[in-house]
Amino acid sequence: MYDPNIAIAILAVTFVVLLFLRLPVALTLVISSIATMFYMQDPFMGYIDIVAQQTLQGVNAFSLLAIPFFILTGQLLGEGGLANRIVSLANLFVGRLPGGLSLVNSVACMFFGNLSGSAVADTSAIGSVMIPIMVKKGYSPEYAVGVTISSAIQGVIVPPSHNLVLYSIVAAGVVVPAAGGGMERVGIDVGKLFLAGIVPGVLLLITLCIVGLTISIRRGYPKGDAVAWKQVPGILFHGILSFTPAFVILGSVISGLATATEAGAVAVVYSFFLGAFVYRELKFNRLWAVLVRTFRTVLMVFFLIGASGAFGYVMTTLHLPDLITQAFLSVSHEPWVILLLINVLLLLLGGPMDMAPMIVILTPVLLPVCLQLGMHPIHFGIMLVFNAGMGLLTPPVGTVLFVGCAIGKVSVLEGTKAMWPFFLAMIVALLIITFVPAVSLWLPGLL
Amino acid sequence: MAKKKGRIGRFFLFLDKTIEAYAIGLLVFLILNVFVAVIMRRFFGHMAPWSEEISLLSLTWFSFMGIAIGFREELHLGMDLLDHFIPAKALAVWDRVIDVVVIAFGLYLTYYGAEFTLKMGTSTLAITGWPNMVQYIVMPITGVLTTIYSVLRLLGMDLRRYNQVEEEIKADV
Repeated sequence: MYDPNIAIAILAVTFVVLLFLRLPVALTLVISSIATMFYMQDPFMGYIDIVAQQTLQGVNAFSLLAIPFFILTGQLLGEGGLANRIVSLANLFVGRLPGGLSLVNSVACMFFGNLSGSAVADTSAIGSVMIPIMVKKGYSPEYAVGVTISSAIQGVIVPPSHNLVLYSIVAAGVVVPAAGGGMERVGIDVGKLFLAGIVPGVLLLITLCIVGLTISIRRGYPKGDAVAWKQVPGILFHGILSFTPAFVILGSVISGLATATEAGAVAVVYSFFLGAFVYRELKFNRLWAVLVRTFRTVLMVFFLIGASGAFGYVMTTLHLPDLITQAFLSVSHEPWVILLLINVLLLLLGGPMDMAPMIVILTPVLLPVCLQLGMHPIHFGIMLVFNAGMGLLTPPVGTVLFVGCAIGKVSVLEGTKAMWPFFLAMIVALLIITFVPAVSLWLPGLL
Repeated sequence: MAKKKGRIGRFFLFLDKTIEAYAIGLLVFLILNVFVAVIMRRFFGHMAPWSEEISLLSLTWFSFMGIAIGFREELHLGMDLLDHFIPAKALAVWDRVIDVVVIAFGLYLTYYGAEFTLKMGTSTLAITGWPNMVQYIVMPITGVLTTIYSVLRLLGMDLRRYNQVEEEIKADV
């Protein structure tokens, strides 16, 4: 018979120590699970071999396929010259306002993020087009980088986002006390989760545009170039056509015509035809590179998911989520205090942690706490993913910040300084999302 | 790896390319399999019962092959807080220690994966009737590959085949 307290200590200490010792996060999850099972040696719960089996079971889910399919759709569209069309479309809507290019950047990032689901891809694609144009028109390079990287975060939350799919998969493995006694798994409708991301995404866009507009007016940044009327139909047609893969995914998932995985497969094939045969910008000799890039992105996530399956098994065996929930509730009985604490914790962890590890590791830990507070799992998912997205902007693992600074050829310090007004605006948006559940739940509630 | 000369170098380059092509081939197969299944179901009212089972089998292989390739390409994400406090030379030594840990993980996956695969020897998949072993055998295979890659890296070989900076790959989700 094992002592649960010692088992928990082994799990927590090995996990934290190995994590800080630079071991890959997924490997850290597996090794701490093995160490704990080695100590427990419980014939009912299994021995250390169970960790390998649980890792395999973790990736044995059909819904997981949506992640590579969504990522590949974004990659194919990006390779097919999406960024220029999106920028033209955004310019049509907001280009003539004061500081027009700043607003075009934010709107284009939202459009592109809608299709790619990736903040880093958003920064690379839109930043490569917009930052040089902005600098040429008199915007400071630091400001151009600041507005790009902040706006790119919209990509993680605006549907169809593979980060939301990742959250739904991890959340589905979380076991919580059922209302009628016993235990049950948290089930999340991906269609509703997608819908839940729309209003927060728009809210984020509005806050970023307000900041961008204010700074642009104060600094006297110019308007964008006027678009000739004869160009308008072409820009609208190509822009809207670019959105059809996202419509395919959203429409079929929300209407229940197809699962996220099925919609993703259709969107991949459709995007390929769009890029290769309609726009003719997707070259066949680039296809292998696109597939390799998708594979290399996905393989990290899948190992994390598999490893979190094993880690989650050990945590559940030790009733760790219950204990963590009790610990949080012992701090305060006021839900707003605990939610504020959770947000601070997530923002702090967003610095050293990447997005996927944050979602995979923290969902099983924090979701039961928030459910206990009466929070809806969809609402929690939006809050978590938003926080994790903001973490991409903060060092030491601020990937979006680093990519943006590299594209804009500014130092990380300059980029960080320019990004701060936008980051503060994002905190305001985050607080609204956290404390006004309707922002996330109103739209899915209409279904 | 590509720069290594001689028979061993060529063998591992061939092995690398084969494994990677196989994993990416699985991705293409998965897309087409799911796409065809959707079209068949929606437009022809026909559903191939084996489609989802084959997809899951391919997904398992795709994911586990990815674990090994991730170690080869040093793609699995870790926290780099230590990098700010420890000199580069000490970090290089520490990286070799991590290689040893990865070797231990590879051996674990090989041994227990093989044991579990053999244990499942008599059971079969529900629809195709294939032996369950075809799904679980990917565990020891991944274990062996992970071990080989880590041993070679411990010996000082740079195994990465993609050295170009692709930031979007680092933390794209």
